Amino acid sequence: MRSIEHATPFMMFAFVFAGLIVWNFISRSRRGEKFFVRRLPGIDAVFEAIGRSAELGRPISFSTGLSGVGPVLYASMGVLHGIAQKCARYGSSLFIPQNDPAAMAVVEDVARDAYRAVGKGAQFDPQKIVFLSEEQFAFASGYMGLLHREKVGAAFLFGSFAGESLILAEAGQQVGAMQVAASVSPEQVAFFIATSDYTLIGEELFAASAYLSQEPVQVGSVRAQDVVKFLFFILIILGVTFATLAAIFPSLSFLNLETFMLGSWGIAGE
Amino acid sequence: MKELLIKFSTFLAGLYFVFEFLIPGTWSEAWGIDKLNEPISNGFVAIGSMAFGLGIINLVRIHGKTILFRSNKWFYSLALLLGLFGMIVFASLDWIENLTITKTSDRILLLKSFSEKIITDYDNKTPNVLDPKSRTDFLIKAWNQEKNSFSPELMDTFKSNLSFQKVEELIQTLSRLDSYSPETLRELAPNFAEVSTFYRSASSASYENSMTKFAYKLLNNGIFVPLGAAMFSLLGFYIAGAAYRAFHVRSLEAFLMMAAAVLVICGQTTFTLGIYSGFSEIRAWLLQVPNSAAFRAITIGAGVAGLVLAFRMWFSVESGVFGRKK
Repeated sequence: MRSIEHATPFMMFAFVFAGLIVWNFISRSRRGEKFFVRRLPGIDAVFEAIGRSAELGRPISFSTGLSGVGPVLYASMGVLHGIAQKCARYGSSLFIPQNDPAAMAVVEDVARDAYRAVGKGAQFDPQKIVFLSEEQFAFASGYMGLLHREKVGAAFLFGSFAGESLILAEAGQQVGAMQVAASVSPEQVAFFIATSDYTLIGEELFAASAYLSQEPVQVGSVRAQDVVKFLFFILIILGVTFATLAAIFPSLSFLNLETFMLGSWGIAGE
Repeated sequence: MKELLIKFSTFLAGLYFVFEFLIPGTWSEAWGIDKLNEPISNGFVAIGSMAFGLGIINLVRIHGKTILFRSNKWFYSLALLLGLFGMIVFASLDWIENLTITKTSDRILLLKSFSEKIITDYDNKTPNVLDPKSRTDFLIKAWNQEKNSFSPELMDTFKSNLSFQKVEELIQTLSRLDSYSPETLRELAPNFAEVSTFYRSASSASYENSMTKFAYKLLNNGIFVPLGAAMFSLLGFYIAGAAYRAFHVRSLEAFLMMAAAVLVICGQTTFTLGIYSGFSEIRAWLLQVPNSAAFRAITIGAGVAGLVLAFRMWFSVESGVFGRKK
């Protein structure tokens, strides 16, 4: 199979079609149509953890892990916005340790905006957004130190994580913090399930922000992604069926769905 | 106006990448779109560098304040800033020294090319060049300049090098001659290459023993790398702790997880494989079938969600966190 640097006709069609679905659901949601977003126990636990920390008078930590500026960071920012608003209302300290300088600028802006949104702009302390290190394990070490020094009551791990995920989650366990973790990396999800109180798996990280804010654009896009995913699911079923039939009846060349999906534009020299 | 400008820039930036990906490769080449990749990537590097500077400013601002006001545990902040600036200074010195060695070595190698060029230009009767004798004089001058820049310790090392001795001898010969001598130049050229290689290794060896390199190695190889390795090694203990908690059979899911883990362990260890060799196939099936299916489901779900979020960002239809409410 050739490596993909440019889209095939099928990919272009899928891209445009997915875009139309997203546009359709966002428009409908903006017009007031209600879409159901299922309950996510991990997100319900976010508010429980903030409340518990506020009662105990202990600070809260929110980490985006090794996330750089990208979709995962933007998805996590929706959750951070909700958490920062709650912390501002309850007067809880919110520490946001950072690994990426570019992401840090985004994080600071979102946190400041959340404090202002609830009329507590003066309470916002930029010193709580701590740049630890760009190096993975130095960051993990700094995070452990921070959690132990500040004795946090709740730790939220939303973003991209790698080998340091277990170190971060164990640090929260050691200080007795209630932890909610979310990662799109399947390898790290297993570690979070073993160490955190609640774990959001894969796309739940993207849905969390919609669930928290109930914003029409976000709710509509969650619905759109469900529809796109359903279409992909149908494609997978079709692919499996066609591949099985092609194995049984090798003479039927039209059954080769891979050729159809990865077929080129038919341009000379492509 | 500012908001409109941001939305327009975001749309244009997104449009380039979408368009570049969607059109066939041959069209991208024909229209010169692929040539824009490098300058655009350089732009990202420039923005990233600014953000890096922002990180340093933030560190200095926060920890500097802690030190100035002698806040709680200010000495940790002091250690951090000392480490940061120490590393910046010694890493910069290390970079400058390595760059100097490479540049000098390249300049000596250039003398080899110049020697050969004098001969070929003369043989080919290349127009608009100086006469070979004058060019040879420039070569001698350039070599003497390079030689004079060598430290006394390096000169001592060079004295035992045969190529260096040969270069010196041939340069002396060329200085004494009143006319152009292609044979001497031809003999000289490969010796310049040898001297360049020797210079690089001798200078690097000499630099390895310097205080700058010692300080850099102490900070990087002696402190930074082992500390990173120590953090990584903690994982071994944490995995055991996490596994212990995860394998508490409190529910059906926990039981399934534990059963799968035990089967994978049995398929991985020699002792259990000695008891029943079929564990190997069970392990392979668990990893390749249910595990892969779960991995792909998570990856596809996250990919679709990322695509939808990208659409939202591209068209700036975000009304929550990033789109300010009026």
